[in-house]
Amino acid sequence: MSEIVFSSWGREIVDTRQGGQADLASLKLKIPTGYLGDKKVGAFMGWDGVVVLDPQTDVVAMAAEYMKRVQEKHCCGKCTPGKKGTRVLQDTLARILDGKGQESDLGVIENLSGLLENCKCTLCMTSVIPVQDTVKYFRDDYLAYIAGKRQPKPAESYVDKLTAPCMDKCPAHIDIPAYIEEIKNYRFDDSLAKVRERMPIAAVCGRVCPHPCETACRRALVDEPVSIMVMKRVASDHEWMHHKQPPMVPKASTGKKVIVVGAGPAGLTCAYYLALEGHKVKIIEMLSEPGGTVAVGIPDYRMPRHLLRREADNIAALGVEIEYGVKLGRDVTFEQLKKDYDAIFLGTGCFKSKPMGVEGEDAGYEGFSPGGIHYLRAVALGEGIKTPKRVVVVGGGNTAIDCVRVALREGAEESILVYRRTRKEMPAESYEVDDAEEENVRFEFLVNPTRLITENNKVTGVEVIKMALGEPDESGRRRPAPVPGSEYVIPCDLVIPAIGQDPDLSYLEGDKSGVKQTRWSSILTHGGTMMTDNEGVFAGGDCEYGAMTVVLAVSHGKRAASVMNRWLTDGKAVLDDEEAMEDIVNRLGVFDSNEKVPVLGGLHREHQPKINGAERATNYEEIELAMPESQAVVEADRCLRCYRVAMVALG
Amino acid sequence: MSHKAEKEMIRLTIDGQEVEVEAGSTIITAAEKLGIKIPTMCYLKKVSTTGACRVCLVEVEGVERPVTACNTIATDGIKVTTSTPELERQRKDMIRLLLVNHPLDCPVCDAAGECDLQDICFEYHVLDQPYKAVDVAMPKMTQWPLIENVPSRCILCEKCVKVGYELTGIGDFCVDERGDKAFIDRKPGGNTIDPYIEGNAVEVCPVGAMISKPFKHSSRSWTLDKVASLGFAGGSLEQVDLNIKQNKLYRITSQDDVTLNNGLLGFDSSFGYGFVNAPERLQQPLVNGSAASWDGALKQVSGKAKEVGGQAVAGLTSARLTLEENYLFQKLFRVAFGSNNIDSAARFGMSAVYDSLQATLGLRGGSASASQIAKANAVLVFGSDITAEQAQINYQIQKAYRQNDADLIVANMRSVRIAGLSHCFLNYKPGSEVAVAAALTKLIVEQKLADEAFIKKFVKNTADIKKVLASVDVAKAAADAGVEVSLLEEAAQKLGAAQSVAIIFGRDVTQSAQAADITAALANLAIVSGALNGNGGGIFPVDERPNTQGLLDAGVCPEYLPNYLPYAKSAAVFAKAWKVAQLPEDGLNALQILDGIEQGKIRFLYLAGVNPLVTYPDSARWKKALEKVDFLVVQDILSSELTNMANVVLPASAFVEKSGTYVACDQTAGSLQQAIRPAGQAKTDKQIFAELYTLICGHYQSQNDQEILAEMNELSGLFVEVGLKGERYRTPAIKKTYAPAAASLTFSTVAQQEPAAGLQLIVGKMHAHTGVTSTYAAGSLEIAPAGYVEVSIADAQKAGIADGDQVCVSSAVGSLTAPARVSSYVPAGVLFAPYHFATVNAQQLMVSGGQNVTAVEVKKA
Repeated sequence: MSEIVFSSWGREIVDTRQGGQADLASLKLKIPTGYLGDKKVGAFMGWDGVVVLDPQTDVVAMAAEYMKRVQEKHCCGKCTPGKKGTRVLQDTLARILDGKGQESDLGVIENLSGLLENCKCTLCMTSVIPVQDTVKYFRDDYLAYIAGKRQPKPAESYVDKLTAPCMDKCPAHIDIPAYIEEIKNYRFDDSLAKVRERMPIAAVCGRVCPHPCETACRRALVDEPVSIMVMKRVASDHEWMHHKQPPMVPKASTGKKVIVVGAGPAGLTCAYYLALEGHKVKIIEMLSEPGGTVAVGIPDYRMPRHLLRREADNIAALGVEIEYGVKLGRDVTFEQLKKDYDAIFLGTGCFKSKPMGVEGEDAGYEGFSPGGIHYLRAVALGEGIKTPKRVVVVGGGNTAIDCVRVALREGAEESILVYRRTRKEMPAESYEVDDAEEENVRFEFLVNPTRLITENNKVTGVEVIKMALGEPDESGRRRPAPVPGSEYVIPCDLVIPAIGQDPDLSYLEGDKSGVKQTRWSSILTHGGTMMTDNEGVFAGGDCEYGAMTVVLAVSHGKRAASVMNRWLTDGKAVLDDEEAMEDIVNRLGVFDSNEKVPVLGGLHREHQPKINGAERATNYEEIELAMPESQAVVEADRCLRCYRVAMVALG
Repeated sequence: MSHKAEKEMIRLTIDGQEVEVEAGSTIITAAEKLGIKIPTMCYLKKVSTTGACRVCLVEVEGVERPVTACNTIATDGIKVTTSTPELERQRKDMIRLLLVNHPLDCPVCDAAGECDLQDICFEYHVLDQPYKAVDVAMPKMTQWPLIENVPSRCILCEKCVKVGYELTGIGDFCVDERGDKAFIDRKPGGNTIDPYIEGNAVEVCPVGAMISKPFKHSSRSWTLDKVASLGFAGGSLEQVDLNIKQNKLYRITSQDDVTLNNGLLGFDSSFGYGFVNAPERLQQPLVNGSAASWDGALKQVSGKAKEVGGQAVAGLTSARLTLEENYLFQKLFRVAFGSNNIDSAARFGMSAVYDSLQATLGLRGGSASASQIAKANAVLVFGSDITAEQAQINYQIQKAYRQNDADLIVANMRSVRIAGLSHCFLNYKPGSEVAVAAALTKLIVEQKLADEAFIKKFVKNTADIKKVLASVDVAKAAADAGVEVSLLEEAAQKLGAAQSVAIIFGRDVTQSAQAADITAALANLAIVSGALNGNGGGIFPVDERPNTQGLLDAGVCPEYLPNYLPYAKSAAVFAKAWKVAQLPEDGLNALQILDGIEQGKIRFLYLAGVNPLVTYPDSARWKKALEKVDFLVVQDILSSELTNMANVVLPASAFVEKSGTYVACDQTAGSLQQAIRPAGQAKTDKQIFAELYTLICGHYQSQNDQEILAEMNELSGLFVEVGLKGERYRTPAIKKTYAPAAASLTFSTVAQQEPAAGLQLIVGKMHAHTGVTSTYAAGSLEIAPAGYVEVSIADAQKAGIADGDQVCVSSAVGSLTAPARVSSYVPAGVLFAPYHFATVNAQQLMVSGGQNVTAVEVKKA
């Protein structure tokens, strides 16, 4: 039997009801056939069509249920066609299902579908697409109902999910259109409350998030993406700049005790959501202040630490105890934590610099830094590190960029970034590369270090070899290869390798802890639950994924807290429907970069005021200034509110 | 702000006509410029765009689907078509959807006749309804005060939500529920003690969803005549339309674009006007409690005045009377009665405020037009519950805050409404006002943020600044005020860094025993912060009464003739013009009049529109005095305990029943227009004064406003121009604009002020009430039917007081018993009582020198 009975997904019609074969894989449709282990997906309905897998699916009943949920659960009611139109559709479909429909009702559905194209946002607008498909391709089923020849056979259950391209792309799945709409309405506190449903550290992610969401912004298809990240900062700054106390109140105590290891973004997030659920949470943190890599790996001119502390204070205000200067494996053992607490969350980060593989790097020379992340930390914590006049940083990521810029602020007269590919291939955010350039950082592209040059055990330069780009590698970037005989020396007093980090998981003492690791030396978790192989032990952030983004760490912390809450109260480490659908929709993908968006574009996105390059390179004051709220309102108005509703029929 | 820097212009074509607009304008704005009307139900120019109704669909060349004109930003070169058969079809269908389950109760709907939905259905010939749906609308909501919400009629345009949130900053409407059930609700969490309901919601509702309860079912809208006039509360010109039928006021509305207030009403105009039609209105003159003729009553007054002699005659008047009336009042006293014993409630602070501003800044009243507040980059609201005291000034602040990104600093003893919006809330303790203002001044100078060029040019004693500020101890000020030094520093930084600053101060300053000292300290702050640099902002003393500025301008006090001409010096000129040999010498002020009555020297007291039994500090002492005085004349509009005490009661007119001039706190003058005849046999205050004058002096006194203003101006030079201007909302005269002369400002020394010790009671205004008058208005009483005392949670716990318990509050001079409202709006150590209520007479606790704060004890009654 064919895997797919019918599909109109992506406006491509596949219909095997009269014969033929089609499967999900060949259509590149990433829709699962199973759901949360024990259920089967019978059909999927959403913004881009209908996919029927189970031939027994009552498509009419499903369409009626879908429209009911769109109207009663998701439609905001804030435009006429959405509010009234989907209600008429819901009732019309219900009437047909009830055997009281008429053929002319199908015309009404058709006509309304056209009218709904004029909705204020895409929620109701896209919801008629699958319904229209059912009317068009399952017309006989409708006519059978209208003729009174059919009784509804609804699926065992239906599960729906509200999404949007940006919301889906954001690892933390923040309801982005909602928080932007609150900005548009000048309701900054409500905006922040929306962000906090999925992310407790808006001050951070409003500043240093690489904002993958903006790569999935439909506005970009007509002009430029909405400044989604900055809107979060605006909401968060509003609370801070008005001296407002955050409004969150934790639920009544459950009596359960959780230990969170690491006060980085993953740990803080996990602690925040667990505390709100009423669990007693303690965080242990090896550093003397909160934030983990955000605090000591991101310089203050990008992320002022007083705001990070404010976020941590907000979390502490929920009853979370944070103990600083306590390192797992050094000051306390894993076994001890396991014994003392009902659950553990490991958010220990990823801060062991990778070796460069050049001659002399392990000789202990003066003027050779153990790694970019170490250099940044030493500067941030004021550990008395001296930065000499000429500094070479090796690498093309954000850490490398941070290092060259910090070196300038620490008194370097020349700060040079050495990268083996070209600027185009740099993994660092391009705006940060621009920023560094404005601050007079020197870039040496297509060169790779080969040897440290030393005098009296002290670095005096680094020998590099020129590189040429060859065929693309598995990352899609062209592979650099050395050009034989092209070596030359860059004189310098300090070399900082910044080519990546590994997690330090020595505290697990190998397999003794029962927590298994991946082949990349990160912690292994299962099925999106963030639970490790040791029951009750969860992990997230960089120690689970490898060095990645703040927002990914936040998403891990949130997901872990959610599953941990279930594990603590019901003893089961499982996803709920919302999370299961979140992952299903995420696999399928929501953003369509080929879509032709039928709105009038031509508006530029609004930018935060910024201190100019020369002025800022001498200090750690924040570079980007707060966007005036009235300007944020203008920017928020550019949001197209690209909501969509997905629904699966389960059997 | 940078993004607001000069906007480029763009050109677009609409229906074949080219138009140029500022970048960032919507298509509908561009169409309006061309005079092209695009139908819409949800568009309201004065709030942010919504795009809810989807009726204003237009086509833009090259864009696949229609776009909404109301919220689509026009871009350069676009070609827009506003009407095609397909657009018209879609619009008509949109209207049909709006009508799905819309009740057909137009015959009993208040909006009938002024309903946008009726109009658009009519215009589009919507005669059929192909769409059917189950009616899931929420039932009618009648539980709110003063406004009824009918969700089934609502088209969810969100105008009510936005007008309250974006323009007045106090509305609490929001959209609740999902889908077709979505309806307008109120957000929980508002002030439950002085609850606000946004009357402007009724005003902007395009259909009959938001209904004013006081107006409901009282009149068909199309039968009402609209008379352009002014609102009766707050020292701003609130330009309104009095809705009149058969000599009765039915409601007050306003219009967008053409009014100074852009159609926004204060609470009083929305709901508090009911006293005009109250059964307690005085209908005829009374002599010793019995009905009398005007002739008889006025003869009693003139006869008695003559009998006791000018020295024994005194009069107190009110800021609710017009400028002309107050002018005639002082003329009547000085000429006809031969008495200069005249004064008003301004004696309890506002007079001192004006004298202090004059001494420091050469200014009496506000320094600029109120619209300049909206242009400020920083706003300081000092000692004012501005939302309650002067709604239109609040609207200007909201504009600065939201549209101009102004920093907002609120300094207040209580968590007044506007504190909730502030960047810095300086919750100072009673008695630390001077210290706070001086500390801010010092910090601005210390942070090198003072406007040095301005100071150099305009301050005459620049050398004193350093000396004066050396005596200011910021740490002590912070300690006295109970405010963190860092917060003071932040506030000073914001005020100092701003290009333009508005300083607004209100009741807690203007009614304070230290009013002059606090004002002088604020004047210093205005000088260093740049509030007087003319680039926006300014300094503004505000008042809840409509004509405090006009009252003082008219010279109703013993020390000044009109336009603050010193009495002794200018008396001869006036005497000559008024055709008397001389004006009486000296004269007693309100406090001296009180002493005079007690000592038997004042035997005749004339009260015009004023009730000292409730509104004057030390009201119990006033009561004893009024009981004692030989002859009491009460000229008022409502009967009260006071009229019962009077020998002669003269029924006067409410604001709708008379014409005349109000002068706003920003020095602009506006005209009241008479819309209806006075109640019963009542006369206007102006008429009564003029008739008495004629009766006594034997020569004619004009009752024509323009003639009175001309006479006043000729003698005093108050205006630069007299003469009615304007078609609908009229300007009777123009005052000179304030601009400091070089080396004219005085940086004054900072007075010593002792921080108050122990529990303090603040007496003040609540938003729904104004004076005593509002206690005769059903609308105001629905919000607050009676007096109470607000007690902080901490003090309530300490004294074992629960919400609603009767408490006894006593000061050195008096005590009261009232229900306690346990409140988070007052800090520990502070009680608050509204002063409006005769039954809970809070002014009994205040000493007669004039004060708004006093030490008290509180205990469970």
